Amino acid sequence: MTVTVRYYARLKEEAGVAQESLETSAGTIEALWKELVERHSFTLDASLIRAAQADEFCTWKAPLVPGALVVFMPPVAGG
Amino acid sequence: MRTMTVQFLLVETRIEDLPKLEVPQASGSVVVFWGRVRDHNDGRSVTGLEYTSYPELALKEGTRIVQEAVTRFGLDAVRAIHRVGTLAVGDAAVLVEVASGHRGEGFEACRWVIDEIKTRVPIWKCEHYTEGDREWVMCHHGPITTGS
Repeated sequence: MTVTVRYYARLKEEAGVAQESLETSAGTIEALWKELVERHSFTLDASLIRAAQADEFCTWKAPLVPGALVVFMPPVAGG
Repeated sequence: MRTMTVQFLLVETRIEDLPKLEVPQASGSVVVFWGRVRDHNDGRSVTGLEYTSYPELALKEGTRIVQEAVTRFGLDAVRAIHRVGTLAVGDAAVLVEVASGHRGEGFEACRWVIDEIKTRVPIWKCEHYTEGDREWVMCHHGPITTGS
């Protein structure tokens, strides 16, 4: 399936792109993250990352929806 | 009767220049918190910073926080505004305004709202230092409160 992945802050810098569309066989958010770690050599541990799908927070076990926008977020630092 | 303000905003321009919260006549207390850009962090001299957000989700989560605050503390009105973009030292980064019947719940709610914003809203801060380098500051995620 094809998904669109968006990155923010440090993840965006490490990926070198803000957003990308890619083909994946991953069934979950977690499996997709593992593929992306291979692709971009992210340095942050998965325990520090949160994910969103269709503009809502989701868990690592959430099923990946074809065509969805998936966002990976490093620890937030607002305020 | 006017509809009460329960609002979370992201703005690219100075928060200082926005009109004040409209306070209901029933409110005996208004508690206001200003978060500002300071000139140092972790022993380093800061010249300015940049806030970036995931706007779609930041607005959803920020709105959930102010709505929860109304229920939790029985507020008359609440507004939280977070700045995004490039900020200089001394600029306001965030404003929380809470109107309530009495000061007790007002202080408590104001503190709660800013604490929740810091851990739940997808906003990131990149600090710029005197030496010319920059760094993404990492705080901590709160627990997942929504989603599958």
